[in-house]
This record gives sequence, structure tokens and C-alpha cells, in this order.
Amino acid sequence: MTTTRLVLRELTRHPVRSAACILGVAAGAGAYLLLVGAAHGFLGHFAALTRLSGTDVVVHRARATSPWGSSLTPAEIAALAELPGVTGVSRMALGKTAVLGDHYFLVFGLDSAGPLARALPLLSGRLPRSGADEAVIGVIAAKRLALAPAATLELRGRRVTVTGVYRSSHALLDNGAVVGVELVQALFNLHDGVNLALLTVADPRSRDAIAATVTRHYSGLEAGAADAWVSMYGQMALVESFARLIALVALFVAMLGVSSLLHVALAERTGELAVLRAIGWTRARVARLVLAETAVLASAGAVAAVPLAELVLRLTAALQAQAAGFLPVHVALSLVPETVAVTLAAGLLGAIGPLVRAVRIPPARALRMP
Amino acid sequence: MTTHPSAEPGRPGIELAAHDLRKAFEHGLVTAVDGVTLEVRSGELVALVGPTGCGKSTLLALLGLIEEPDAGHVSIDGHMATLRGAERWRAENVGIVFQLHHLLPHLTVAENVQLPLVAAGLARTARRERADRLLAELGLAHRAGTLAARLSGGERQLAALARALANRPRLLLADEPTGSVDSRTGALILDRLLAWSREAGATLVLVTHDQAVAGAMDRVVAIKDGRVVGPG
Repeated sequence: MTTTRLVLRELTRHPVRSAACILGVAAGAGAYLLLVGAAHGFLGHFAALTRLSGTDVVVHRARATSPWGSSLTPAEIAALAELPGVTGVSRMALGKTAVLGDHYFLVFGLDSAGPLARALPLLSGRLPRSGADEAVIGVIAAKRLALAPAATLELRGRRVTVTGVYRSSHALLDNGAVVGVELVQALFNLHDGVNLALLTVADPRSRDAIAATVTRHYSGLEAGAADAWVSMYGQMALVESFARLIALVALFVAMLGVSSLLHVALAERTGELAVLRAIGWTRARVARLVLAETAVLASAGAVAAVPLAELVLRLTAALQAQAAGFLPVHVALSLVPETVAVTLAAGLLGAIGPLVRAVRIPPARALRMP
Repeated sequence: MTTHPSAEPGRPGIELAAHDLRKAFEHGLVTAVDGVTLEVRSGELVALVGPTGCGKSTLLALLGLIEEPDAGHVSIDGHMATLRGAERWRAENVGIVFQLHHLLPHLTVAENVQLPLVAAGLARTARRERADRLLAELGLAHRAGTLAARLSGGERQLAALARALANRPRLLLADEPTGSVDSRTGALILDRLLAWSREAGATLVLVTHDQAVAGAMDRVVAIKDGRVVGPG
């Protein structure tokens, strides 16, 4: 009989209690997955936007804390187009406004001839004409707001005609609208500035070198390869750190509950542990037993957290469509090892109290038990 | 008395000595053992008798290095003993039979018997073989895979005896081993305890209220108010 077998027997002895423990851990670990995943997801959506367009390098204002805080002048855009190795520059202007009760409706201003606009897969209609008060709308927003081509959308008091519906399969983009750059500049008082410049280069292997050149030669600008630029925003990093902190707190609160259950379980088993100590089990062996039980519960909870978090994501997306743009589409599997590790660490921390109690059980108690 | 096939010659019984042992509980308000000095020879069978609450079980715990004395000390084979490392010593040398079986109910009978062997560090195959052999000798082979919770009272105490004998102990400590079973099972348990001690040469210290059980021992020590008051 191995310790593993002993642990499994103990856990199956009180299936309801063990299930409650695992569910508690799963709730905490699920919160960790969701919160950290949401922070990752928001950045991921932006990164996906640039990947969608085939952009190689993204340029923004140095020290901008978010894409909305970045501003590039026409002169800077023109200078970027002259860089050796750069084959194209398209502009992106961003705005967020309230539409039909949605307080966070994203409006993407794109050059109609730019790669991102051209890459938009239209389900119906056509792209907006440059300079016209026209918009194409993402499929999620179209469904949520019941809009179709020829419908009218009011953006900051300006009536805009819907010319088409697209599905990019990127939740952030599909949850908003795409208009011409000039319309966003007018709607959001950007004057002639834009938020981002999307560069395409002749040789994709030179992306990092061109990004470095931009950052080095233009003191007010910062550039990054398309898959890395979002991580440059301090605000995004702050959001991610904050989400991680909140997630850790949620996880530790869950583990406190598990710790209480472990305390109760150990209180019931005081006599049995005393017998084990009396017949020769060392404190270390008893400690290993308790730690192994905790590790199994924490691991099972962390694994159960994955489908639980996925369920929460789907329910949230179904019930609150505008949240889709800010939540990851699926649980980030890349976060699972981190979540398991953090959950195990939290579990072992939560087990310290019960562990100390378990190893302090005097073996002589076995002889005094009724 | 039946013989005990699992008995292993070459490991003599432990020689025990208690030197002015004292133990109190409740912050010194309740004295359980009050200056006991006692010698038990290797292979000797000793019964501790006395009224309920006189300190017999506490003395048994002190002799088995399960409880720390407030004063005095225990000698094992002529050497002063402490509780440091006592678990390992018990795992390798001591078998304990409690008044109630104290089996782990969610483990099978065979798994319960193997528990001291886990502590002693025996390999899995050896543990299983030894448990199976012991259970067969005690007539419990057919119950080896049964959860302890599903055994009858007598079967549980027999399984507990198998657990106590699993590590081939040099010292057997038994706290009223026949107190909670019917007379037939009690007789069987006593028979096996005596058989093991005689065949293996193990020392047996047994707490009992039963005069017949005490009469089967080599020596009877009477305890009253935590003190040795002479032979019973």
C-alpha cells in the first residue's frame, strides 16, 4: 500500500467533502484563469488585429499607456513611409463611445485602402467610402444591436450609415465598427492625428530591425513587431498585474475555505493519526500524507477549473455580448500550467495550519481513545 | 497453546526498565504514574493490573516510548531511552494492541496490517506477503480484501492483532486486548499473543482487568494510584 493509495482512499471516504474541496479550489483557480486570461485576452485581441492585417511593425507614441493614448502626426506617418525596407503604411484611429446602451462601443478608423480594411471578411455589403459617414459593423455588434446594411447608426450624435457586416473572428473587432480614418478623427477630435501606424515591410525577417530603427531615430515614437507591440503599453501591463493580484487574492480566499475543510477532516481523524504515530509513523510521514492529500485536492481543483472557466466564459459571452471583446474567446491553455503551479502553492500554504496540527497529535492519544 | 509459524528466532525480546517514572496530566493536577520503578526481562510476560484510572495504560505508553515522562526514564536493553527516534524504534520492534481495534475503517484488512510495515520501510511485495501470511494464521485470509469497517467486532480485534504482529515485534504492548470482545475471541487473541511471545521470545507487557488473563502471564504487577503496590 502506497501513500498515494492511502490518500485516494481517504479522499473517496468522504466523497461529498472531497468534491466540495475540489469545487472550492476550482472556483479559485477558475477565477485566476479568467482574470489573468481576461487581461491577456484584451492584449491578445489587439495583437490579433495586427496579425489579421498582415502588419509587420506597429508604431505608436513613445510612453503611451494604451493605444488610445498614442497620437501620431501626418508628418510622422509620411516619414515612416520613407524608411528603407518599408513597403506600406496604413493608419489606425481609435475611439470608444456609447451606442444604444452599450457604453464601450469601439470604433476603428482605418484607411480604406490599407491592409486591415482589405483583410476584413465581409458577410454582406461593402466597405465604407473614404470621407463618407459610413461604417461596416462587426457581426457580434450587428447581432447585439440588430443592425444590417442600410441601417443608421448614431455615433456621438452623428448619423452613420451601415454599409456592410463583417466577421473577422476577432471578438474585439467583431464587437465594434470600422469607419474611415477621417470620420474617427472628426468624431473624437483627433484633428489630423491617428493612434497607430501599421507598417508592412519587404522582408519579414527585418521586422525587429526596422522597429528598432524607428525607436532609435524618432525620439517621440516607439515601434514593435506585430506580435509584441501590445506588451509595450504600461497601462496594459498594469491591468495585467492588477488582474493577477486580484486573481491571487481570489485563489487564496478559496484555499482558506479548503484549509478549513482540511482542519475539520483532520479533527475527525485525530485518533487515526495518533494510531499511525503510535505504530511507528514518523511526523515526516504523517506530514507527507497530509501534503499529498492537499496536493491531490489542489491539482484536481486546478484541472477542474479549466472546464469551469470555459463554461463561465461561454455563459458570459452568451448573456453579455459586449463583454466578448474584452474576454478571451477560450480559456488560455498556456495559462493552465501557471494556474496549476499557483494553485498548488496556494494549497500547500493553506495546508500549513492543518499540517502543524496533524504532526503535533501525540501518539499516546491512541491509548486514551474510547 | 498453539505455535506461531511466523515467529522468527534470533531477535530476543526487549529488556525494559522503568526508573522512578512520573507522569501527570491537567497541568500536574492529575497524577497518572507516580514514581514507578519496574524491570521486565527479555521474553518475560508481565500483566499490569489495577483499578480503572490507576495509571496502567499511561505506564504502558511510557514503557513503549509513546509518552514522554515528566521525570524518570526508561531503559531499553540496558540503555537509557528518549523519545527522539522512538517512532522508528517502535516501527521495527514494538507491536501494540489497543483495547479497541483502532483500525482505519476505509482501508482493507490487509492494508491495515501493512501500516506498521510501511513505517518500517518494507518493500511492497514483502509487506503484502507478510500480511497475507499473518491473516491466514489468524483465520482472516478470506477477509483480507474487506474494508475494516465491514468486519465484526471480533474480526476487527483479530485484524488489530495481526497489525501488531506484522513487524515481528520484540516487544508486545497490549492494553486490555480482550476487553472488548466475546470470550471465545478473547481466548483466541490471548492464545496468539502468548504463542508469539513464547515462540519468538518477545517480551509482553499487558494491561488487564481479567484475572484469568493475568494468570496466564509470568508475572503480575499491581498498580494503584500510579504506584506499583506489588504482585496482584
